[in-house]
Amino acid sequence: MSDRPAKQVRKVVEEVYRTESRRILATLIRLLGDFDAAEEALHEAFAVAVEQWTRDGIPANPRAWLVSTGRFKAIDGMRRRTRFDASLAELASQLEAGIHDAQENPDESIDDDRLRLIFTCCHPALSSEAQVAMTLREVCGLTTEEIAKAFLTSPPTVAQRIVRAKAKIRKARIPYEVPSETTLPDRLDAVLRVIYLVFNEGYSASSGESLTRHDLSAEAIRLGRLLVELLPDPEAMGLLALMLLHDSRRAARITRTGDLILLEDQDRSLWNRDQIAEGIALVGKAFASRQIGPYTIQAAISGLHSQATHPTATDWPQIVSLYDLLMQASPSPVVELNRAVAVAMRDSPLAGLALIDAIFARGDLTNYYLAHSAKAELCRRLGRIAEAKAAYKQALGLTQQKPEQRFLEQRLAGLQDRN
Amino acid sequence: MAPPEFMMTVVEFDLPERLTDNNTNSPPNQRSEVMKYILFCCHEEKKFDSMTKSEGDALMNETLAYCEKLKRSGHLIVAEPLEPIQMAVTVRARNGNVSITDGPFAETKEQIGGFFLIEARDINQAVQIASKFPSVRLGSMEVRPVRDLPRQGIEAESCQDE
Repeated sequence: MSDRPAKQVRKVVEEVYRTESRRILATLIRLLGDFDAAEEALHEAFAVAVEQWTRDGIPANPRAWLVSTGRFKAIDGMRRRTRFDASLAELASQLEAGIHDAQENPDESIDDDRLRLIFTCCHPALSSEAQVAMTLREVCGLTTEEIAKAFLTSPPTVAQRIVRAKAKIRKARIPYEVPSETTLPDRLDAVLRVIYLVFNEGYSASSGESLTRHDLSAEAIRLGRLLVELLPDPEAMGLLALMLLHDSRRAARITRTGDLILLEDQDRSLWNRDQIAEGIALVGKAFASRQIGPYTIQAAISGLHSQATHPTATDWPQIVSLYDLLMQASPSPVVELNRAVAVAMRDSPLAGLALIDAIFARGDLTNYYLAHSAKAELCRRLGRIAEAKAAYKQALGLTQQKPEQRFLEQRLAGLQDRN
Repeated sequence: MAPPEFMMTVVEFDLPERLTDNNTNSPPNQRSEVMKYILFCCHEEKKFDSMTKSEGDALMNETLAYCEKLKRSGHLIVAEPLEPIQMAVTVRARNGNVSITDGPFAETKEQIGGFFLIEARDINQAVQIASKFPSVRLGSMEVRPVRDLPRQGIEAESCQDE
């Protein structure tokens, strides 16, 4: 054989790996019942593909070919190891016996396998850090190093988290299945939460110099799309919409030097119109289902901001009523704070301030820097400079993020100038 | 003005009937059909002590009825309530010396008040079984998979003991 076809085949194999390897892995995990065995089988199958496809040509259905090759490789491996562990012999024959039952319609069950993988990685028996690491590793195919870098931790830490999670899946027997109807809402919440955590980590890093880590947000949006495609649930749509709408403002929300720009000061021509259109369409679809959850409501609020061509054109009354709805669906002091800010914009800074003070008076959000910074801003607008200064200083003491610290320092300096 | 803030809050909402249970598709490597889990019933003893007799009886009767149901469905292997921690002693052997101390092995806010050994298909089923014990409304239940040691392993260990 010549070099040229070998090179071409290698290219095809790489392409198939890029687009199909996660699906094949999801199916192999089901067939083999073990994450590590499936991963090993996956890599063996691709190694064989390079060799065999060069010799025999590319199969009609590369995915099905790779699944069945991976599975046979796994059975072979088990047989070879039978000499050391008698129980593997029984397992290998069980796997072989199962082949005929499962050979039918490899394409039909593949979506279910991807969902099984997502739900297993986000199982509530795993810690949320493990859920995030497992999802990025197994569903998205990120390397341990990439995950560690994104979460500013060391690769061994991430590797250990993944190893422990896999051991728990095996030993506590976390099943590889899509949850039943009765538990689906709770389990779906866990999945949405993991995707949201990944997005937030990318959108607003919890510490450090860089405010956005775009790769993670992009990965979360990809996950959101996958979930909507596999399980078109209204809240999954709401979450995808929310992520798209926030992401649409990425180019406008920080300066070249990495400083934060507030919504009202952003250059709205920099907003990504395609993402906004897609996000708003998804909100509409989710609302039409009449099963409106907190992600959808937040997306609707974000969508209203996106639709305002100028800050003064913002539909604040509508935003306040969406926050009222959110307070019913998912009451929390943070929602209350955001509602207070919207009320301030609709009515007057004084009205908003009264609401924020009421939250503080209850003892809530006293350690939340955004609550103090919102209070500071309202005080500033009311000309209550001393109070504004005190609140900015309190906010400064409560955030670890450099861009946010710089932003608050600038605001504080601006007040000093006025005095 | 503070930008709209992300919120990590999620509530329950209705979902349409959509997915069926795929339990029949369990992985083939599960060597046995069922697994053993032990459920540790944890609660504050003080809370239980402060219950009136009729409250305590009602809880006990409800628990017994549930145990009976689990026994009939084949899930329950052993169920034992425990005497309070004041009755406990803790034994340690160091350098050949055995020491005995009064009380449980660890001072915790909640104490183990009983245990159940059950059989379940997987952790989901074990959790489902645990969640229906009346005592989880007052305390909590730790669900621990029982380690599946190969038979010869156990025999080897007991030989060492002798």
